[in-house]
Amino acid sequence: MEDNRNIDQLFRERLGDFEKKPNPELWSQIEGRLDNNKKRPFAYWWLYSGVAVVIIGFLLVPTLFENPKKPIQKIEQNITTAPTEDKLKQKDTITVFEKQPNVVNEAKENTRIAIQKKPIQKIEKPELNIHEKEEQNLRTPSSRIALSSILIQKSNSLSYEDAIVETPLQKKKEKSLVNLFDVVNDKDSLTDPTENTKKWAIQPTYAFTSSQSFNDASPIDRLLQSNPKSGSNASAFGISLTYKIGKKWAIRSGIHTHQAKFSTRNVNVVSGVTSSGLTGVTNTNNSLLVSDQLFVADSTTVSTLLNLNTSTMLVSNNAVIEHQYNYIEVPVEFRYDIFNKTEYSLGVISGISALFLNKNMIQLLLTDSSYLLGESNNLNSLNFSSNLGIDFNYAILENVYLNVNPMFKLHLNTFSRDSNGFRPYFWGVYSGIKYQF
Amino acid sequence: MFSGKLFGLCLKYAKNYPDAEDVLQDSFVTIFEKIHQYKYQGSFEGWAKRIAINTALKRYRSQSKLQIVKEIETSEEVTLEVDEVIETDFLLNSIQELPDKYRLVFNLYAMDHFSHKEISEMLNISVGTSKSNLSRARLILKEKIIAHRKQQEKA
Repeated sequence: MEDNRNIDQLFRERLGDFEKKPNPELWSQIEGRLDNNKKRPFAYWWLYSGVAVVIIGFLLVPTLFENPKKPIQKIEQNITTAPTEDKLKQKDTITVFEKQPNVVNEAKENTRIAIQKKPIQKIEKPELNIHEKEEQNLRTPSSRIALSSILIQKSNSLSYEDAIVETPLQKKKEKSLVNLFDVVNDKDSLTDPTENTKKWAIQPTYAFTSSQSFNDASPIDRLLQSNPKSGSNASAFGISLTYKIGKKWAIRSGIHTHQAKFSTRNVNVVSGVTSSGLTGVTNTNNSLLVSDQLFVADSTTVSTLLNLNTSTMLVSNNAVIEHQYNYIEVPVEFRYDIFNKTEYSLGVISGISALFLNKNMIQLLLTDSSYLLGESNNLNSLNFSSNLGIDFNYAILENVYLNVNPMFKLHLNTFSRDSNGFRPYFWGVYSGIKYQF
Repeated sequence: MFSGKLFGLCLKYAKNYPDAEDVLQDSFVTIFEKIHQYKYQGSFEGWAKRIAINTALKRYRSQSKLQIVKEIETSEEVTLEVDEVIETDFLLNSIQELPDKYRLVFNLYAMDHFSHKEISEMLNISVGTSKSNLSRARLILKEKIIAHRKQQEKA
């Protein structure tokens, strides 16, 4: 009994106040896990904001559609009114020409008829102020004097008709008509800029992307939590379609490839583990079976195994576990013009992407060989990302633009479970030639 | 900070270094999450310690079914690798190498002054089992120390 107390005492004395500073790396891991707990609301906020942008976008569509319609209608009016006007004027000129020798009174009568004949045209008049002015300028002082008496008799709004009728010289008439044509043409070109008619744009896209994580967590296994990790760069291809829904707004969709690739370095791989050693190893959950021969283990397990079993060999202590998963990405994004000049434009793009998993692979890379470990069993087949970026267009030809579009994409539900706090995000520079049609 | 003390405690309750790190990590996460539950009754250190102990117990209680008795034999081989000069490390390793239940009971009783009744409630075992586990733990530790001393004398 005394012996027993001595043992208790010995351990209590020596280890009772035993202290040991934990590895500083541990703090970053704890921080990562705590951050992860806190980041969840942030991620939701991000998702909600993405959804909100889409909803607001759709709500804006009808209101935005109304604005561009108005100018279009105006253009149509101009186009339809212009020829009828000309016809009428030509009629006028003919009548005027015929009745030129007649007295002012007769002319007066004629104009009255003309006025009665053209009640529809009156409505269109306010829009044709420019024509009127043009006309007035062309009028000779003499005709103006002749006109004055008639003008008094008639209402002001009809002065335009009178002017046409009263002008005595046909040459001038013709001139003014030619001018009118010019004005109408000019007007068309003014109110009809190319941007309004070319609503669609298509763009083959190439992107340089990079996979990153907010922390050093491993979604593969907790065993690899402390190993150094890095995201890899990749390329993405796709095609995107943009539709202009307003002066400053556009909606963009398309289809892209999207690759995620993460490497875990300094992985210990051991071989020659006998089945007796294996049970202990699998129970402690400190190793992963690679094949019948190879195991991935943490450093402590490796040293234990090496001590236990002479047949155990450390195959590598700097192997790499590569986790690659690819998606087909379908984004729905809204673009807002910050400024828009004829040769270049800059806009902000925000939206969400649906990501459909189409490749999932985990490989173990040794210096001279590689093993397919299998596929990750905790990846969701449908993932979403929230996107934010800047869109820059530079006109290189008419309707052809060089597009550069850096994007940040935060993945929202990559893993169904056991991600160990791993939070991936992506940035990429998307570029391509945009064609407007 | 008391992180050193807490990690020391984790090392005693865990079976190896990485496990201790895991326990410490889980403990800190729990401490931060439940910090609002700390009612300033008693020392904060005691409260944190209790969380760490509970975390460790939770870990080994659930894993205890997978325990293999054979491990005692294999662990003795590992003991020989320990640097003899550092006595504290040897003692710590001796504790860590105890089977989970023995280690937990020994820690709770000898180090942290819990009674057998408290231990039996904490580990869901009978008082008798707690007592026998404690004596077996002592026995193993005693043998280890004797073996260790013999080896030192040889060297």
